[in-house]
Amino acid sequence: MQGEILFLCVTVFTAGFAIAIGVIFPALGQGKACSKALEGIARQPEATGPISRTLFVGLALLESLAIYVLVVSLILLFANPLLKYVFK
Amino acid sequence: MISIDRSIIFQIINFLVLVALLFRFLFKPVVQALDKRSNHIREEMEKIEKEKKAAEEMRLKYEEESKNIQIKFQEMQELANQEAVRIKSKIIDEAYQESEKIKQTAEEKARIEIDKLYSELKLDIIDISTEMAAKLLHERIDISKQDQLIEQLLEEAIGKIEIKSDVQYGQQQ
Amino acid sequence: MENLGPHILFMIGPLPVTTTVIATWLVMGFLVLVSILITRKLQFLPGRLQNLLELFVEGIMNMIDDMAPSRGRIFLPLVGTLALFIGAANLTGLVPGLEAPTSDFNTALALALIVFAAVPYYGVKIQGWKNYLKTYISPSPVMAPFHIISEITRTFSLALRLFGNILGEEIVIAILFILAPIFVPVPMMLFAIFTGVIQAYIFTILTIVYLSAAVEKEGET
Repeated sequence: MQGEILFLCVTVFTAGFAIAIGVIFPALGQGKACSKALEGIARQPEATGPISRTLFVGLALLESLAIYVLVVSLILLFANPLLKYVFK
Repeated sequence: MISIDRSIIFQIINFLVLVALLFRFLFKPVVQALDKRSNHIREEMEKIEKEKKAAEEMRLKYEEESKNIQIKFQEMQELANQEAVRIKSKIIDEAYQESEKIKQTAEEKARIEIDKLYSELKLDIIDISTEMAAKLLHERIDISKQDQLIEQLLEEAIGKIEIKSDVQYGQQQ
Repeated sequence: MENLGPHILFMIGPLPVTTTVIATWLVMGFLVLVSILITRKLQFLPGRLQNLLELFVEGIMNMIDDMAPSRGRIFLPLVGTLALFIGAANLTGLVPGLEAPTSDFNTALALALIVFAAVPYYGVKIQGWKNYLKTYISPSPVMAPFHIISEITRTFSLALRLFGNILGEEIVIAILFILAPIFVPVPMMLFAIFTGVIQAYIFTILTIVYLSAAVEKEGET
């Protein structure tokens, strides 16, 4: 029983920690991309359309990193494939 | 929660069916309508452009015509002016000649009159002198009277001549 | 949290009909019905609904024209349906009693697989076999495995992005609903509308990017 509880504790901790870490860096990247895009728009307001479209695509690609982390932690919490080996 | 099962096949089929249905019911008619409208708009624009061009041509034509008309009008005016000047000078010339002629005839008439007057005067003088001679002969007896008579006769004759020439000259004037 | 996620309602042959499939059918029925109603009486001067529809179609066409100006128009049915379906499906999650079909990984993966299949389909259709296969070895044959891996991973990333965003949103709303059922989830639900529309837009534009990369001669993503 001890081992199973440890397994659950580690799983929950890892899930939370993964979200914490995995959100920081995409957020930094997104902030950087946004600030650069705003600078570009401020410098060239007539290029707002292409810049914002590219920005959206780039943000989506960056955000998918955070989403991967979310999916991994969701799998750990709700659909852990290893669970059936631990709880026979 | 995160699991792949066989319902994915359902979802793929569902989506393909949806693509087919929306293509049939949504995209084809809407794209056709859009194309039709853009074609219509383009045709209208072309038509408007053409009409604009035609109107512009018409305007140019009219402008040219009005310009031509103006030029013609000016020419005609000038012609009329020249004609008028010509006629005017002609009239003046004619009048001048006429007046000249009248003056000449009048002068001639006057000369003839004067000539006539002179000849009449001559005749009168002859008459008077004959009369004077007759009267002298008649009243020789009285010398004192004779002088008186001569003087009287002379005065008479001079008065007559003066009156006659006055009258003649006045008529001439 | 247990009833979050699809259940199998009944089976048609070997295929399970889950709640997701039912929701998908509802979304499909809604979309087809609305489009029939609007396009049945297309007018030369559009009414309000027709104008909305034309605006949508023209927006998609402009997006396609920006990416693949020469031959992009044949994507329009696929891309437009993707945008409409994903948008409508994302917003379905806000209807009480229904779950967004896109919060089921099966739906998201199905859509991504369709895009995955559509890329070579349109590539071969427009460029021909030889030219399309040449794009895989375009800088050098060494790159071929990387091209193939990138196609597979971007498929999964498409599916996971859509699924993760919508599921995350639903989980947040469900948790807030469990904590405080009244009023508290409302701002999150408003945010969910925004997220749903943005995710539909991103899925659409990424699809256009992938497709146009396969269709236009120069370079892959």
